[in-house]
Amino acid sequence: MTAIDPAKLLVECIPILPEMLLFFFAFIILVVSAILPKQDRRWIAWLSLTGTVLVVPTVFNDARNLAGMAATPVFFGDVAVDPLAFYFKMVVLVGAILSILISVDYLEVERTQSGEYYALIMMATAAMMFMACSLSLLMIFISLETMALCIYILVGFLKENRKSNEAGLKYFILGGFSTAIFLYGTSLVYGATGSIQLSRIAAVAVPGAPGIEMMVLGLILIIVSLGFKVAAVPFHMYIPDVYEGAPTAITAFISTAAKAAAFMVMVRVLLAGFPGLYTWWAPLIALIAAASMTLGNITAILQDNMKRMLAYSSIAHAGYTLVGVLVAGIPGETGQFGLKAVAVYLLIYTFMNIGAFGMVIMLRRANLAGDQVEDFSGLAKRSPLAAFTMLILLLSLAGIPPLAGFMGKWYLFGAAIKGNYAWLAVLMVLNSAVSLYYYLRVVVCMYLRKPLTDEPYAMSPALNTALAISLGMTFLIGVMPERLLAFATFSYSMVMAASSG
Amino acid sequence: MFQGLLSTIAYVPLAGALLLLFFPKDSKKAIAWFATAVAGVDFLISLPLFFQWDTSLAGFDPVTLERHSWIPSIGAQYIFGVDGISALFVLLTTLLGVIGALSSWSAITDRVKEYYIFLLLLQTGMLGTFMALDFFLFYVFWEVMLVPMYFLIGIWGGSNKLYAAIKFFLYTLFGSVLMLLGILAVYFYYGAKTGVYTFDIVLLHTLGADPAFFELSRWVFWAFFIGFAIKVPMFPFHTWLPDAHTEAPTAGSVILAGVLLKMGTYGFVRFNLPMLPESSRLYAPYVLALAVIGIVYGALVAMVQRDWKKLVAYSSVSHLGFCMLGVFALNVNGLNGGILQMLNHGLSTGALFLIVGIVYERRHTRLISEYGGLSKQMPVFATIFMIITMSSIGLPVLNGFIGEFTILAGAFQIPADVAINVLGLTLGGKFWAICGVTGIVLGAAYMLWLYQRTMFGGLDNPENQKLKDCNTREVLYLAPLVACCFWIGLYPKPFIDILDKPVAHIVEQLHATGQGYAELGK
Repeated sequence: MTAIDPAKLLVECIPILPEMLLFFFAFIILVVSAILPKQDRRWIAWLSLTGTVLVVPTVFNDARNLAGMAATPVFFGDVAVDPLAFYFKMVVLVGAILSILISVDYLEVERTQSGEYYALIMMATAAMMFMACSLSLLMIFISLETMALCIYILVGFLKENRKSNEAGLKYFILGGFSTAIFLYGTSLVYGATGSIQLSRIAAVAVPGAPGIEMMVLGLILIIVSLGFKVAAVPFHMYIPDVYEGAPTAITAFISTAAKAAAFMVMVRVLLAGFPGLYTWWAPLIALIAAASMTLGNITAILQDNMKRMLAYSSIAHAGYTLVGVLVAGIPGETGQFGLKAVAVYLLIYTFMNIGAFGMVIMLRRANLAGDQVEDFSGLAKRSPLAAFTMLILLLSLAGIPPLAGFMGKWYLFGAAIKGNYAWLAVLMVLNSAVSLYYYLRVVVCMYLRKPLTDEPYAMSPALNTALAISLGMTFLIGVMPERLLAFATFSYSMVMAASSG
Repeated sequence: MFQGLLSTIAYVPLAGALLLLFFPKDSKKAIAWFATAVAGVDFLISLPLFFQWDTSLAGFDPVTLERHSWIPSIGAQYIFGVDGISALFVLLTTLLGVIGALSSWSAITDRVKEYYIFLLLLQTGMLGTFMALDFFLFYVFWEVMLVPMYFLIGIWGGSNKLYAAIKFFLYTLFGSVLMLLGILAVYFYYGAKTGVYTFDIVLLHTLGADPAFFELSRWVFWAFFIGFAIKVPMFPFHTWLPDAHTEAPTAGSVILAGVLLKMGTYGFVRFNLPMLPESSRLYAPYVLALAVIGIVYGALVAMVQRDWKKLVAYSSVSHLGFCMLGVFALNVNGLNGGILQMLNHGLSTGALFLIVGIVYERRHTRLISEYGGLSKQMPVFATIFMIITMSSIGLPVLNGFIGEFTILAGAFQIPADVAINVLGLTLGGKFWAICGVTGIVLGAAYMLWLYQRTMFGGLDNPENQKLKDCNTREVLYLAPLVACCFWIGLYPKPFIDILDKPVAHIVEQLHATGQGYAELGK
């Protein structure tokens, strides 16, 4: 490699300005929180929210330049500036913004309001945004690790809560394993192909190539590690404990934004790096998808803890999404449909799921954990609007039209049919009917049981805003999906060109 | 009639439900009045569909057809339209809507506001299902109505309401998601074939004439079949019905039996027959067999019920089997009779549930053995019950006779080669017709026996001795049903006229391609 011209470095950095900005804001938050007196810590939340929201237009600015750049990789070929990256950056930012909103008053209840929390969320978000646009395995690894390190800390953030500590430790140890597996896989792929650039890997990773065995082994290891990140069976063992133990707002964050980013990486690696080995990885992904949705849904039925139930449901949803990834690997129009399904679904899932966790936060009172299904008892009587919000979110998660979740499911079912995976399609629809059973358990509690306590709910303007956004988007995307679909269409339209460039 | 009429009919209840939100919780009377008025207005608005209907129309009425762009990305449109068949169902829905609301005034005392909101939402869902001419839109409405019905059963139902409600929801959902896969398969096939991705039912119907579609259509047929058969419900998918019908509040049962079940049979008429004609012909014998099993089985089980409402519920299984026998006779008589019988069943079984509701409200028990000799105490009630009983068992002069007669005529016309062989016996059209007739006999048996046990005999139970006869409101909501029973029984021509052309059109589509059942079977 030749010496780098500083001027050129600056030019190369322009496309990654949003991420840099987010890191910069995170550091400002750290400094401010050290200066600010303890009773004013709440302001940090608003400051970090402002910072994150400010990043949104810069991402849009990048997107505006897309046409001019003709989707060439930048930052020494490691970073993609394509609509897909843009789309997923938006998903991640939406997830982060909503997560911060539901955190503000939650941290008051948990008495751990502090600057690091928000700074870590922002850094993790920046890392996720890098994940969305990484084009080389090394870049992916670095961003993946940055995100994971932030999240390990966030999961264990409730220092006085044993469950939170346990969750943090568990996540850290298992996460470490998965990282090591990813690295090992990368090294094998590098050994077999001589490159860590996805486009160069794609050029040599075809059936019958020399060293194909090593390549496939490396690919399998990478899939295993990413399977861990997206919470797919059989790499899901840590999920229920981590989701239950983590601060609820962080559970919402990792089940949506982090998951979306991990899916994005998976799509990028499989589609941009190993399209030639589709016949090798497709059965593996199909199997993981089938296992995830079935096991996730069936286990969710048995849960009494709301966070654990949503954890298992999130495993099931990962299974559905994997079907989209699977179909996305098929070349041509079918693949584009599959990719679109993944993109649409993950954004919709972000709204629904953060909303559902937001409701759990509403039930968390100073002396009440509020995370049991039973705690929803009598909600309809005490607060009809809150119960209605939860009802809509749950029905949407179950995929009942005309709500957003149905649009997402429609795309995934469609992808499975279009991709000729009829057996997966049947499994998916049966699973989504099963899922209704446990979502309805919550509905029964809300509408048919008497309230257990008359402790006031932890409603706050910030939380209400987040819930209103979730509810509104769940409705809007369900009834008028065209806007979102057009947006998603834009993001998949150029991905093929971009990933092969 | 005018453009936008259908949307108006469909969304008046929704608007009413939204307005109800602003009513104070405790003004129960105002809420009930308002909801009933909304349903009543909706019924009046829908009347032109009957009285101004152009009976020469075979397809969808062009005046009321609405078409708007909705989700261009996937080709889903907002298309509302009715032909003669759906126009009648729309009317049935709006009529039963008013009656359902009116019948709930004294039955529902708890959470009144929510109750009427759900009732009106359900109304919008059902109307939309009958009007949607876009498969995607159809599916949306089809699923939407499950939610209010779930709540109606779950909150205001009987002692075992939670079980019944979730069973209803899950059962129907299982069926409909499989149907969704069928819809997707058709959608992608049509898209790949023509390059146009659309859910427009009229366009998708053209697939019926495409020989290459046959392979796929066999799968699609069963996907649709499960979705619709669960809703009908056909034997052996009927097990949700007795629970749901028995546990639901009276209005819920009326609407379940009167309208929701018809969506299954309507689905077969609207989708399976015209879109998948060859598969329909190929699989007709199996469907017929299930229909006939349903007729006989439903009747036998009804006979041994000790619960009045459950008896009526099982009689629905039997009657809907009759409708399916007519529909899958695949000829003009069968279809005419099948569709007419769906209306008849909506009227008479709706009335039967109302009748059970009236005594249940007074006595809070549904056990037949608790009653006896009511005709002495409640003469008006007994008279109405008698008329409805006669209608239900198909006595001439009343509606049931016309429907059953036409269905049997259709069944007799089933060609000899539509048959399945069981143990060397060839079971064809005439055999099914004969089985159907035994269903009628059994039907007369259980209904008359029910009547005898409840209305005649000594008025022994002291509880029954102070029962009050029907009040004005109760007579008011039963009267239209009784009147319709007589109307269809004495002068069915207007109804048959409306059905005739669309039915002939469907039969035409059914036989447009292919040679015959026998060759397909091989």
